[in-house]
Amino acid sequence: MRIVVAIKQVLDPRGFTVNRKAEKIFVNREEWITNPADLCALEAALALKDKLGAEVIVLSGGPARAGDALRDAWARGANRAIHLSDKAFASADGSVAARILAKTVSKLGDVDMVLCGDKAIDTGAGEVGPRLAEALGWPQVLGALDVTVVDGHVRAVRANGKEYVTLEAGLPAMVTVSAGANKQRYPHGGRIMDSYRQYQPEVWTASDLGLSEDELNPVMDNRGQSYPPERQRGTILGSPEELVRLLKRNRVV
Amino acid sequence: MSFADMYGSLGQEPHDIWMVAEVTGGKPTSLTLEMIGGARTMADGLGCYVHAVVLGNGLGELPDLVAAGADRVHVADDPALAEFAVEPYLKVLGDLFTAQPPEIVLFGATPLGDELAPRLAQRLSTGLLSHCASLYMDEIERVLIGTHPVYEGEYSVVVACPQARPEIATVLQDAFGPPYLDSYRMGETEPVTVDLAGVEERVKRVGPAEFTPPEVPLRKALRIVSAGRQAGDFELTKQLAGALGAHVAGAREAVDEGWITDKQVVGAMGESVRPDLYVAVGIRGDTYHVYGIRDAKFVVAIHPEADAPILKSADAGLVGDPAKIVPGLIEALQK
Repeated sequence: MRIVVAIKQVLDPRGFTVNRKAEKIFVNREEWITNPADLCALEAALALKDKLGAEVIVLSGGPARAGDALRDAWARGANRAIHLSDKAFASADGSVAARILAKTVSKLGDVDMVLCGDKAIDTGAGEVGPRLAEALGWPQVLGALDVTVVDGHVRAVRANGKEYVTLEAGLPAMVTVSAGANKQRYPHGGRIMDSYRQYQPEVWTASDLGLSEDELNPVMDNRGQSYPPERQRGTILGSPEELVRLLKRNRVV
Repeated sequence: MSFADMYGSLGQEPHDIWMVAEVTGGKPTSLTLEMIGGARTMADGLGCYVHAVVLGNGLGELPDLVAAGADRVHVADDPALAEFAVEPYLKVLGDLFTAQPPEIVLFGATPLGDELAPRLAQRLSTGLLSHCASLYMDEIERVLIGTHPVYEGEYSVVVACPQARPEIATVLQDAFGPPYLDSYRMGETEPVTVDLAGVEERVKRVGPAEFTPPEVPLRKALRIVSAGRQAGDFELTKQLAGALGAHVAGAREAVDEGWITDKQVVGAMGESVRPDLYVAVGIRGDTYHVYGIRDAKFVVAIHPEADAPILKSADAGLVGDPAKIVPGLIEALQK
Protein backbone atom coordinates (compact mmCIF):
# COMPACT_ATOMS: atom_id res chain seq x y z
CA MET A 1 0.00 0.00 0.00
CA ARG A 2 1.31 3.35 -0.99
CA ILE A 3 0.24 6.55 0.76
CA VAL A 4 1.18 10.02 -0.39
CA VAL A 5 1.10 12.91 2.06
CA ALA A 6 1.18 16.46 0.72
CA ILE A 7 2.54 18.99 3.21
CA LYS A 8 3.08 22.72 3.13
CA GLN A 9 5.34 25.06 5.03
CA VAL A 10 3.73 28.08 6.64
CA LEU A 11 5.05 31.02 8.58
CA ASP A 12 4.86 30.40 12.31
CA PRO A 13 2.10 32.69 13.62
CA ARG A 14 3.97 33.04 16.92
CA GLY A 15 6.77 34.82 15.08
CA PHE A 16 4.81 37.79 13.76
CA THR A 17 2.43 40.41 15.04
CA VAL A 18 -0.22 42.17 13.04
CA ASN A 19 -0.49 45.88 13.63
CA ARG A 20 -4.02 46.75 12.66
CA LYS A 21 -3.49 50.50 13.00
CA ALA A 22 -0.43 50.59 10.76
CA GLU A 23 -1.99 47.87 8.56
CA LYS A 24 1.26 45.98 8.55
CA ILE A 25 2.58 42.59 9.51
CA PHE A 26 5.74 42.75 11.58
CA VAL A 27 7.75 39.57 11.37
CA ASN A 28 9.93 39.41 14.46
CA ARG A 29 11.21 35.90 14.04
CA GLU A 30 10.85 34.30 10.65
CA GLU A 31 10.33 30.66 11.36
CA TRP A 32 8.73 28.17 9.02
CA ILE A 33 6.74 25.30 10.38
CA THR A 34 4.81 22.49 8.74
CA ASN A 35 1.13 23.39 8.59
CA PRO A 36 -0.45 21.83 11.73
CA ALA A 37 -3.20 20.03 9.83
CA ASP A 38 -0.62 18.54 7.45
CA LEU A 39 1.31 17.18 10.42
CA CYS A 40 -1.90 15.46 11.55
CA ALA A 41 -2.25 13.98 8.06
CA LEU A 42 1.35 12.75 8.24
CA GLU A 43 0.70 11.21 11.64
CA ALA A 44 -2.39 9.44 10.27
CA ALA A 45 -0.29 8.06 7.40
CA LEU A 46 2.47 6.93 9.75
CA ALA A 47 -0.10 5.17 11.94
CA LEU A 48 -1.23 3.27 8.83
CA LYS A 49 2.40 2.50 8.08
CA ASP A 50 2.83 1.01 11.56
CA LYS A 51 -0.35 -1.01 11.23
CA LEU A 52 -0.31 -2.15 7.62
CA GLY A 53 3.27 -1.64 6.54
CA ALA A 54 2.30 1.04 4.05
CA GLU A 55 4.89 3.04 2.18
CA VAL A 56 4.61 6.74 3.02
CA ILE A 57 5.80 9.30 0.48
CA VAL A 58 5.81 12.97 1.46
CA LEU A 59 5.51 15.75 -1.10
CA SER A 60 6.06 19.44 -0.65
CA GLY A 61 6.43 22.41 -2.91
CA GLY A 62 8.15 25.65 -2.08
CA PRO A 63 11.65 27.13 -2.07
CA ALA A 64 14.76 25.49 -0.60
CA ARG A 65 13.45 25.89 2.96
CA ALA A 66 10.73 23.30 2.19
CA GLY A 67 13.60 20.79 2.42
CA ASP A 68 13.50 21.23 6.20
CA ALA A 69 9.84 20.25 6.34
CA LEU A 70 10.57 17.19 4.19
CA ARG A 71 13.56 16.18 6.32
CA ASP A 72 11.39 16.55 9.41
CA ALA A 73 8.76 14.30 7.82
CA TRP A 74 11.42 11.76 6.89
CA ALA A 75 12.78 11.85 10.44
CA ARG A 76 9.29 11.16 11.75
CA GLY A 77 9.18 7.98 9.71
CA ALA A 78 8.25 8.66 6.09
CA ASN A 79 9.90 6.36 3.55
CA ARG A 80 10.53 8.93 0.86
CA ALA A 81 10.38 12.69 0.58
CA ILE A 82 10.04 14.51 -2.72
CA HIS A 83 10.63 18.22 -3.08
CA LEU A 84 8.63 19.67 -5.97
CA SER A 85 10.89 22.53 -6.78
CA ASP A 86 10.79 24.72 -9.82
CA LYS A 87 10.84 28.45 -10.45
CA ALA A 88 7.60 28.03 -12.40
CA PHE A 89 5.88 26.58 -9.31
CA ALA A 90 6.47 29.73 -7.28
CA SER A 91 3.33 31.50 -8.54
CA ALA A 92 1.10 28.44 -8.09
CA ASP A 93 -2.45 28.94 -6.86
CA GLY A 94 -4.88 26.22 -5.80
CA SER A 95 -5.63 24.98 -9.29
CA VAL A 96 -1.95 24.79 -10.30
CA ALA A 97 -0.95 23.15 -7.00
CA ALA A 98 -3.60 20.48 -7.55
CA ARG A 99 -2.33 19.94 -11.09
CA ILE A 100 1.28 19.59 -9.94
CA LEU A 101 0.34 17.17 -7.17
CA ALA A 102 -1.92 15.15 -9.47
CA LYS A 103 0.92 14.77 -12.00
CA THR A 104 3.28 13.72 -9.23
CA VAL A 105 0.83 11.15 -7.90
CA SER A 106 0.28 9.65 -11.34
CA LYS A 107 4.02 9.61 -12.00
CA LEU A 108 4.60 7.75 -8.73
CA GLY A 109 1.96 5.22 -9.76
CA ASP A 110 0.05 2.66 -7.65
CA VAL A 111 -0.89 5.27 -5.06
CA ASP A 112 -3.76 4.06 -2.87
CA MET A 113 -4.39 7.15 -0.84
CA VAL A 114 -3.44 10.80 -0.75
CA LEU A 115 -3.61 12.58 2.59
CA CYS A 116 -3.20 16.24 3.35
CA GLY A 117 -4.37 18.75 5.93
CA ASP A 118 -7.86 20.11 5.50
CA LYS A 119 -6.71 23.73 5.67
CA ALA A 120 -3.45 25.61 5.58
CA ILE A 121 -3.41 28.31 8.23
CA ASP A 122 -1.84 30.84 5.88
CA THR A 123 -4.59 30.65 3.23
CA GLY A 124 -7.42 28.97 5.11
CA ALA A 125 -8.94 27.95 1.80
CA GLY A 126 -9.04 24.17 2.06
CA GLU A 127 -9.23 23.92 -1.70
CA VAL A 128 -6.22 21.85 -2.71
CA GLY A 129 -7.59 18.60 -1.25
CA PRO A 130 -10.89 18.55 -3.17
CA ARG A 131 -9.24 20.04 -6.25
CA LEU A 132 -6.70 17.20 -6.22
CA ALA A 133 -9.51 14.65 -5.82
CA GLU A 134 -11.15 16.17 -8.90
CA ALA A 135 -7.89 16.22 -10.89
CA LEU A 136 -7.29 12.56 -10.06
CA GLY A 137 -10.97 11.61 -10.40
CA TRP A 138 -10.99 10.08 -6.90
CA PRO A 139 -13.58 10.20 -4.13
CA GLN A 140 -12.89 12.63 -1.32
CA VAL A 141 -13.37 12.66 2.42
CA LEU A 142 -12.81 16.08 3.97
CA GLY A 143 -11.93 16.89 7.56
CA ALA A 144 -11.22 13.35 8.76
CA LEU A 145 -10.19 12.78 12.37
CA ASP A 146 -9.27 9.13 12.22
CA VAL A 147 -8.29 7.14 9.13
CA THR A 148 -8.25 3.37 8.89
CA VAL A 149 -8.20 0.89 6.03
CA VAL A 150 -10.65 -2.03 6.12
CA ASP A 151 -10.74 -4.58 3.26
CA GLY A 152 -9.53 -2.30 0.54
CA HIS A 153 -11.70 0.59 1.69
CA VAL A 154 -10.75 3.68 3.60
CA ARG A 155 -12.82 4.45 6.67
CA ALA A 156 -12.68 7.92 8.10
CA VAL A 157 -14.28 9.40 11.20
CA ARG A 158 -15.54 12.89 10.75
CA ALA A 159 -17.20 15.37 13.07
CA ASN A 160 -20.84 16.06 12.31
CA GLY A 161 -21.94 18.82 14.64
CA LYS A 162 -21.19 17.47 18.09
CA GLU A 163 -21.31 13.85 16.97
CA TYR A 164 -19.06 11.72 14.85
CA VAL A 165 -19.83 9.69 11.75
CA THR A 166 -17.88 7.07 9.88
CA LEU A 167 -17.54 7.47 6.12
CA GLU A 168 -16.28 4.84 3.75
CA ALA A 169 -14.81 5.16 0.30
CA GLY A 170 -13.15 2.76 -2.09
CA LEU A 171 -9.45 3.11 -2.79
CA PRO A 172 -7.78 5.06 -4.27
CA ALA A 173 -9.14 8.00 -2.32
CA MET A 174 -8.26 11.51 -1.27
CA VAL A 175 -8.59 12.23 2.47
CA THR A 176 -8.00 15.54 4.20
CA VAL A 177 -7.28 15.49 7.92
CA SER A 178 -8.36 18.17 10.40
CA ALA A 179 -5.94 19.96 12.64
CA GLY A 180 -6.07 18.54 16.17
CA ALA A 181 -7.13 15.09 14.95
CA ASN A 182 -4.24 13.34 16.65
CA LYS A 183 -1.13 13.85 18.70
CA GLN A 184 2.03 13.67 16.65
CA ARG A 185 4.97 11.50 17.50
CA TYR A 186 8.38 13.01 18.09
CA PRO A 187 11.02 12.23 15.53
CA HIS A 188 13.89 10.15 16.83
CA GLY A 189 16.89 12.35 17.66
CA GLY A 190 19.33 10.24 15.69
CA ARG A 191 17.03 10.25 12.71
CA ILE A 192 16.82 14.06 12.79
CA MET A 193 20.62 14.19 12.54
CA ASP A 194 20.61 11.54 9.82
CA SER A 195 18.03 13.51 7.89
CA TYR A 196 20.63 16.25 7.42
CA ARG A 197 23.81 14.17 7.34
CA GLN A 198 22.84 11.29 5.10
CA TYR A 199 19.45 11.91 3.66
CA GLN A 200 18.67 14.12 0.72
CA PRO A 201 15.05 14.61 -0.39
CA GLU A 202 14.49 13.89 -4.07
CA VAL A 203 13.91 16.96 -6.22
CA TRP A 204 11.38 16.90 -9.03
CA THR A 205 10.99 19.81 -11.41
CA ALA A 206 8.35 20.82 -13.95
CA SER A 207 10.19 19.04 -16.74
CA ASP A 208 10.39 15.83 -14.66
CA LEU A 209 6.63 15.98 -14.35
CA GLY A 210 6.06 16.95 -17.97
CA LEU A 211 4.13 20.08 -17.09
CA SER A 212 3.96 22.78 -19.72
CA GLU A 213 4.03 26.51 -19.05
CA ASP A 214 0.32 26.87 -19.82
CA GLU A 215 -0.58 24.33 -17.18
CA LEU A 216 1.36 26.30 -14.59
CA ASN A 217 -0.39 29.61 -15.22
CA PRO A 218 -2.24 30.70 -12.09
CA VAL A 219 -5.78 32.04 -12.47
CA MET A 220 -5.95 33.74 -9.11
CA ASP A 221 -4.59 37.16 -8.43
CA ASN A 222 -3.46 38.30 -5.00
CA ARG A 223 -4.57 41.87 -4.35
CA GLY A 224 -2.90 42.50 -1.02
CA GLN A 225 -4.13 42.28 2.52
CA SER A 226 -6.87 43.84 4.52
CA TYR A 227 -6.93 44.22 8.26
CA PRO A 228 -9.73 43.95 10.75
CA PRO A 229 -10.63 47.15 12.59
CA GLU A 230 -8.58 48.01 15.65
CA ARG A 231 -9.64 46.30 18.82
CA GLN A 232 -12.01 48.41 20.87
CA ARG A 233 -11.02 47.56 24.39
CA GLY A 234 -13.05 48.43 27.41
CA THR A 235 -16.47 48.18 25.81
CA ILE A 236 -19.12 47.56 28.46
CA LEU A 237 -22.18 45.73 27.24
CA GLY A 238 -25.65 45.72 28.73
CA SER A 239 -26.75 42.12 28.54
CA PRO A 240 -25.53 38.58 27.80
CA GLU A 241 -27.63 38.56 24.60
CA GLU A 242 -25.72 41.58 23.36
CA LEU A 243 -22.46 39.78 24.13
CA VAL A 244 -23.50 36.69 22.17
CA ARG A 245 -24.42 38.89 19.20
CA LEU A 246 -21.03 40.59 19.36
CA LEU A 247 -19.24 37.23 19.55
CA LYS A 248 -21.15 35.99 16.53
CA ARG A 249 -20.41 39.15 14.57
CA ASN A 250 -16.71 38.72 15.30
CA ARG A 251 -16.96 35.04 14.30
CA VAL A 252 -15.68 34.00 17.72
CA VAL A 253 -18.52 31.51 18.27
CA MET B 1 -38.46 40.91 -24.14
CA SER B 2 -38.60 37.37 -22.87
CA PHE B 3 -35.88 35.47 -21.09
CA ALA B 4 -35.18 33.27 -24.09
CA ASP B 5 -34.69 36.29 -26.38
CA MET B 6 -32.22 37.80 -23.96
CA TYR B 7 -30.24 34.59 -23.95
CA GLY B 8 -30.27 34.42 -27.73
CA SER B 9 -28.56 37.79 -27.96
CA LEU B 10 -25.98 36.88 -25.34
CA GLY B 11 -24.99 33.61 -26.98
CA GLN B 12 -22.56 31.42 -25.09
CA GLU B 13 -20.54 34.18 -23.40
CA PRO B 14 -20.38 33.59 -19.66
CA HIS B 15 -23.06 35.75 -18.13
CA ASP B 16 -25.23 36.17 -15.05
CA ILE B 17 -24.73 35.45 -11.39
CA TRP B 18 -25.62 31.99 -10.18
CA MET B 19 -25.85 30.84 -6.64
CA VAL B 20 -26.39 27.41 -5.15
CA ALA B 21 -29.19 27.58 -2.60
CA GLU B 22 -29.38 25.38 0.46
CA VAL B 23 -32.71 24.37 1.93
CA THR B 24 -33.28 22.96 5.40
CA GLY B 25 -36.70 21.95 6.61
CA GLY B 26 -38.40 23.26 3.50
CA LYS B 27 -36.96 26.76 3.91
CA PRO B 28 -33.89 28.39 2.41
CA THR B 29 -31.14 29.03 4.98
CA SER B 30 -30.48 32.60 6.08
CA LEU B 31 -27.08 32.48 4.37
CA THR B 32 -28.78 31.53 1.10
CA LEU B 33 -31.09 34.54 1.28
CA GLU B 34 -28.20 36.84 2.20
CA MET B 35 -26.26 35.59 -0.81
CA ILE B 36 -29.21 36.16 -3.14
CA GLY B 37 -29.56 39.67 -1.74
CA GLY B 38 -25.86 40.34 -2.30
CA ALA B 39 -26.01 38.82 -5.78
CA ARG B 40 -29.02 41.02 -6.56
CA THR B 41 -27.04 44.16 -5.72
CA MET B 42 -24.12 43.06 -7.86
CA ALA B 43 -26.41 42.06 -10.73
CA ASP B 44 -28.16 45.44 -10.67
CA GLY B 45 -24.78 47.12 -11.01
CA LEU B 46 -23.70 44.89 -13.86
CA GLY B 47 -27.05 44.63 -15.59
CA CYS B 48 -27.48 40.89 -15.46
CA TYR B 49 -29.71 38.25 -13.91
CA VAL B 50 -29.54 36.29 -10.67
CA HIS B 51 -30.13 32.56 -10.85
CA ALA B 52 -30.61 30.30 -7.87
CA VAL B 53 -30.10 26.53 -8.15
CA VAL B 54 -31.82 24.27 -5.65
CA LEU B 55 -31.02 20.59 -5.47
CA GLY B 56 -32.98 18.06 -3.50
CA ASN B 57 -36.02 15.85 -3.53
CA GLY B 58 -39.63 16.78 -2.90
CA LEU B 59 -38.82 20.47 -2.78
CA GLY B 60 -41.92 22.55 -2.34
CA GLU B 61 -42.51 26.13 -3.35
CA LEU B 62 -39.66 28.42 -2.41
CA PRO B 63 -41.10 31.93 -2.80
CA ASP B 64 -38.39 33.45 -0.56
CA LEU B 65 -35.71 32.87 -3.17
CA VAL B 66 -37.53 35.12 -5.63
CA ALA B 67 -38.49 37.59 -2.91
CA ALA B 68 -34.82 37.96 -1.91
CA GLY B 69 -33.87 38.79 -5.50
CA ALA B 70 -33.55 35.72 -7.73
CA ASP B 71 -34.80 36.20 -11.29
CA ARG B 72 -34.84 32.54 -12.03
CA VAL B 73 -34.95 29.53 -9.74
CA HIS B 74 -33.67 26.28 -11.20
CA VAL B 75 -35.02 23.31 -9.34
CA ALA B 76 -33.25 19.97 -9.68
CA ASP B 77 -35.65 17.55 -8.06
CA ASP B 78 -34.62 13.91 -8.08
CA PRO B 79 -34.65 11.05 -5.54
CA ALA B 80 -30.87 10.69 -6.00
CA LEU B 81 -30.42 14.27 -4.80
CA ALA B 82 -32.42 13.88 -1.59
CA GLU B 83 -29.30 13.68 0.57
CA PHE B 84 -26.23 15.74 -0.19
CA ALA B 85 -23.75 13.62 -2.13
CA VAL B 86 -20.73 15.01 -3.94
CA GLU B 87 -20.81 13.13 -7.23
CA PRO B 88 -24.48 13.57 -8.23
CA TYR B 89 -24.58 17.20 -7.09
CA LEU B 90 -21.40 17.91 -8.99
CA LYS B 91 -22.74 16.25 -12.13
CA VAL B 92 -25.94 18.29 -12.09
CA LEU B 93 -24.14 21.57 -11.49
CA GLY B 94 -21.40 20.78 -13.98
CA ASP B 95 -23.95 20.02 -16.71
CA LEU B 96 -25.94 23.13 -15.90
CA PHE B 97 -22.92 25.42 -15.97
CA THR B 98 -21.59 23.91 -19.17
CA ALA B 99 -24.92 24.48 -20.93
CA GLN B 100 -25.25 28.06 -19.63
CA PRO B 101 -21.81 29.34 -18.67
CA PRO B 102 -22.15 31.68 -15.68
CA GLU B 103 -20.01 34.71 -14.99
CA ILE B 104 -20.14 34.20 -11.23
CA VAL B 105 -21.08 31.22 -9.08
CA LEU B 106 -21.65 31.67 -5.35
CA PHE B 107 -21.69 28.90 -2.77
CA GLY B 108 -22.18 29.23 0.96
CA ALA B 109 -19.08 28.48 3.02
CA THR B 110 -20.88 25.46 4.44
CA PRO B 111 -19.93 21.76 4.32
CA LEU B 112 -21.73 21.59 0.96
CA GLY B 113 -19.83 24.55 -0.44
CA ASP B 114 -16.51 23.31 0.91
CA GLU B 115 -16.95 19.97 -0.85
CA LEU B 116 -18.42 21.20 -4.11
CA ALA B 117 -16.89 24.59 -4.88
CA PRO B 118 -13.21 23.54 -5.19
CA ARG B 119 -14.10 20.47 -7.23
CA LEU B 120 -16.32 22.46 -9.54
CA ALA B 121 -13.58 25.08 -9.91
CA GLN B 122 -11.10 22.39 -10.91
CA ARG B 123 -13.61 20.82 -13.30
CA LEU B 124 -14.21 24.17 -15.00
CA SER B 125 -10.49 25.15 -14.78
CA THR B 126 -11.13 28.32 -12.91
CA GLY B 127 -10.24 30.04 -9.66
CA LEU B 128 -11.91 29.96 -6.29
CA LEU B 129 -12.38 32.82 -3.86
CA SER B 130 -12.84 30.75 -0.77
CA HIS B 131 -14.40 31.65 2.58
CA CYS B 132 -15.03 35.26 1.69
CA ALA B 133 -15.83 37.44 4.69
CA SER B 134 -16.57 40.24 2.26
CA LEU B 135 -17.22 40.17 -1.42
CA TYR B 136 -17.77 42.99 -3.84
CA MET B 137 -17.81 43.69 -7.54
CA ASP B 138 -15.22 45.94 -9.08
CA GLU B 139 -17.49 47.24 -11.81
CA ILE B 140 -14.76 49.05 -13.75
CA GLU B 141 -12.67 45.94 -14.12
CA ARG B 142 -15.74 43.67 -13.92
CA VAL B 143 -13.96 41.43 -11.45
CA LEU B 144 -15.18 39.96 -8.20
CA ILE B 145 -12.97 40.88 -5.24
CA GLY B 146 -13.09 38.74 -2.12
CA THR B 147 -11.32 38.96 1.20
CA HIS B 148 -10.81 35.94 3.33
CA PRO B 149 -9.43 35.71 6.84
CA VAL B 150 -6.14 33.86 7.36
CA TYR B 151 -4.17 32.84 10.44
CA GLU B 152 -7.44 32.48 12.32
CA GLY B 153 -8.56 36.00 11.58
CA GLU B 154 -5.30 37.87 12.28
CA TYR B 155 -5.67 39.57 8.94
CA SER B 156 -7.31 38.90 5.58
CA VAL B 157 -5.98 38.42 2.10
CA VAL B 158 -7.68 40.06 -0.85
CA VAL B 159 -8.03 37.86 -3.90
CA ALA B 160 -9.52 38.06 -7.36
CA CYS B 161 -9.81 35.83 -10.37
CA PRO B 162 -9.48 38.23 -13.30
CA GLN B 163 -8.87 35.89 -16.22
CA ALA B 164 -10.92 32.74 -15.90
CA ARG B 165 -14.71 32.50 -15.85
CA PRO B 166 -16.82 31.64 -13.95
CA GLU B 167 -15.54 33.30 -10.83
CA ILE B 168 -16.47 30.88 -8.06
CA ALA B 169 -16.71 32.04 -4.46
CA THR B 170 -17.73 30.51 -1.16
CA VAL B 171 -19.32 33.07 1.12
CA LEU B 172 -19.33 33.27 4.91
CA GLN B 173 -22.37 34.27 6.92
CA ASP B 174 -22.75 38.07 7.22
CA ALA B 175 -20.56 38.79 4.18
CA PHE B 176 -23.59 40.58 2.74
CA GLY B 177 -26.16 42.39 4.79
CA PRO B 178 -29.60 40.93 5.44
CA PRO B 179 -31.65 40.74 2.22
CA TYR B 180 -34.66 42.83 1.46
CA LEU B 181 -37.51 40.39 0.98
CA ASP B 182 -39.92 41.85 -1.56
CA SER B 183 -42.84 39.48 -1.97
CA TYR B 184 -44.02 41.41 -5.07
CA ARG B 185 -40.86 40.64 -7.00
CA MET B 186 -41.37 38.53 -10.12
CA GLY B 187 -39.31 35.50 -10.92
CA GLU B 188 -39.51 32.28 -12.88
CA THR B 189 -39.10 28.75 -11.65
CA GLU B 190 -37.74 26.17 -14.01
CA PRO B 191 -37.07 22.46 -13.55
CA VAL B 192 -33.60 21.19 -14.34
CA THR B 193 -33.30 17.98 -16.33
CA VAL B 194 -31.36 15.62 -14.13
CA ASP B 195 -29.27 13.03 -15.94
CA LEU B 196 -27.37 10.90 -13.48
CA ALA B 197 -26.63 7.91 -15.70
CA GLY B 198 -23.37 6.31 -14.61
CA VAL B 199 -22.92 8.62 -11.64
CA GLU B 200 -22.82 7.11 -8.20
CA GLU B 201 -21.76 8.53 -4.89
CA ARG B 202 -18.49 6.88 -3.91
CA VAL B 203 -18.38 7.93 -0.28
CA LYS B 204 -20.81 6.04 1.92
CA ARG B 205 -21.96 6.88 5.40
CA VAL B 206 -21.42 3.79 7.52
CA GLY B 207 -22.92 5.04 10.76
CA PRO B 208 -22.14 6.90 13.94
CA ALA B 209 -18.65 6.64 15.33
CA GLU B 210 -16.90 6.85 18.65
CA PHE B 211 -14.01 9.25 18.82
CA THR B 212 -12.16 10.94 21.63
CA PRO B 213 -10.14 13.89 20.46
CA PRO B 214 -6.61 14.03 21.87
CA GLU B 215 -6.01 16.18 24.94
CA VAL B 216 -5.12 19.75 24.12
CA PRO B 217 -2.81 21.49 26.58
CA LEU B 218 -4.07 24.76 28.06
CA ARG B 219 -1.58 26.90 26.17
CA LYS B 220 -2.93 25.61 22.86
CA ALA B 221 -6.61 25.73 23.79
CA LEU B 222 -8.86 27.67 21.42
CA ARG B 223 -11.37 28.70 24.06
CA ILE B 224 -10.80 29.21 27.75
CA VAL B 225 -13.17 30.08 30.56
CA SER B 226 -11.29 31.30 33.59
CA ALA B 227 -12.43 31.88 37.16
CA GLY B 228 -11.22 34.37 39.76
CA ARG B 229 -12.04 35.24 43.33
CA GLN B 230 -15.34 36.93 42.46
CA ALA B 231 -16.60 34.05 40.31
CA GLY B 232 -19.01 33.00 43.04
CA ASP B 233 -20.21 29.55 42.12
CA PHE B 234 -17.48 27.61 40.32
CA GLU B 235 -20.01 25.07 39.02
CA LEU B 236 -21.53 27.84 36.88
CA THR B 237 -18.12 28.65 35.40
CA LYS B 238 -17.72 24.99 34.51
CA GLN B 239 -21.17 24.95 32.90
CA LEU B 240 -20.24 27.98 30.82
CA ALA B 241 -17.07 26.20 29.71
CA GLY B 242 -19.18 23.20 28.77
CA ALA B 243 -21.56 25.35 26.72
CA LEU B 244 -18.63 26.90 24.86
CA GLY B 245 -16.64 23.69 24.54
CA ALA B 246 -13.84 25.49 26.37
CA HIS B 247 -11.04 24.62 28.75
CA VAL B 248 -11.43 25.58 32.40
CA ALA B 249 -8.66 27.67 33.92
CA GLY B 250 -8.31 30.41 36.47
CA ALA B 251 -6.28 33.09 38.14
CA ARG B 252 -4.01 32.28 41.08
CA GLU B 253 -6.83 32.95 43.58
CA ALA B 254 -8.85 30.09 42.12
CA VAL B 255 -6.17 27.67 43.36
CA ASP B 256 -6.56 29.07 46.87
CA GLU B 257 -10.28 28.43 46.60
CA GLY B 258 -9.50 24.85 45.61
CA TRP B 259 -11.27 25.14 42.25
CA ILE B 260 -8.38 24.42 39.93
CA THR B 261 -4.93 22.91 40.11
CA ASP B 262 -1.60 24.70 39.79
CA LYS B 263 -1.30 23.71 36.15
CA GLN B 264 -4.50 25.53 35.19
CA VAL B 265 -3.30 28.94 36.31
CA VAL B 266 -3.17 31.59 33.60
CA GLY B 267 -0.80 34.51 34.01
CA ALA B 268 2.81 35.49 34.34
CA MET B 269 3.26 32.88 37.08
CA GLY B 270 1.35 30.24 35.16
CA GLU B 271 0.59 29.54 31.52
CA SER B 272 0.64 32.11 28.77
CA VAL B 273 -2.30 31.35 26.53
CA ARG B 274 -3.41 32.48 23.09
CA PRO B 275 -7.00 31.35 22.63
CA ASP B 276 -9.53 32.75 20.19
CA LEU B 277 -11.88 33.43 23.07
CA TYR B 278 -10.98 34.04 26.71
CA VAL B 279 -13.77 34.53 29.21
CA ALA B 280 -12.65 35.90 32.58
CA VAL B 281 -15.32 35.31 35.21
CA GLY B 282 -14.80 37.34 38.37
CA ILE B 283 -11.13 38.00 37.71
CA ARG B 284 -10.04 41.47 38.77
CA GLY B 285 -7.26 41.48 36.23
CA ASP B 286 -3.94 42.40 37.83
CA THR B 287 -0.87 42.81 35.66
CA TYR B 288 0.29 39.27 36.38
CA HIS B 289 -2.90 37.81 35.00
CA VAL B 290 -3.30 40.13 32.01
CA TYR B 291 0.26 39.33 30.92
CA GLY B 292 -0.75 35.72 30.43
CA ILE B 293 -3.59 36.63 28.07
CA ARG B 294 -1.82 39.30 26.01
CA ASP B 295 -2.13 37.15 22.87
CA ALA B 296 -5.78 36.19 23.35
CA LYS B 297 -7.79 37.23 20.30
CA PHE B 298 -11.01 38.10 22.07
CA VAL B 299 -11.34 38.70 25.80
CA VAL B 300 -14.67 38.81 27.60
CA ALA B 301 -14.74 39.93 31.24
CA ILE B 302 -17.54 39.48 33.74
CA HIS B 303 -16.93 41.28 37.03
CA PRO B 304 -19.12 42.80 39.74
CA GLU B 305 -16.96 45.92 40.18
CA ALA B 306 -17.14 48.52 37.42
CA ASP B 307 -13.59 49.74 38.16
CA ALA B 308 -11.93 46.33 37.81
CA PRO B 309 -8.85 46.69 35.55
CA ILE B 310 -9.81 43.63 33.49
CA LEU B 311 -12.80 45.51 32.08
CA LYS B 312 -10.46 48.07 30.53
CA SER B 313 -8.32 45.50 28.74
CA ALA B 314 -11.20 43.25 27.67
CA ASP B 315 -12.85 43.47 24.26
CA ALA B 316 -16.24 43.15 25.87
CA GLY B 317 -17.24 43.43 29.48
CA LEU B 318 -20.33 42.77 31.53
CA VAL B 319 -20.60 44.42 34.94
CA GLY B 320 -22.57 42.50 37.52
CA ASP B 321 -22.65 39.48 39.75
CA PRO B 322 -21.36 36.46 37.76
CA ALA B 323 -23.89 34.24 39.56
CA LYS B 324 -26.64 36.22 37.79
CA ILE B 325 -24.94 36.92 34.46
CA VAL B 326 -23.43 33.50 33.67
CA PRO B 327 -26.75 31.57 33.59
CA GLY B 328 -28.15 34.20 31.21
CA LEU B 329 -25.05 33.89 29.04
CA ILE B 330 -25.32 30.10 28.92
CA GLU B 331 -28.95 30.44 27.90
CA ALA B 332 -28.16 33.02 25.20
CA LEU B 333 -25.39 30.80 23.81
CA GLN B 334 -27.64 27.79 23.54
CA LYS B 335 -30.35 29.70 21.69
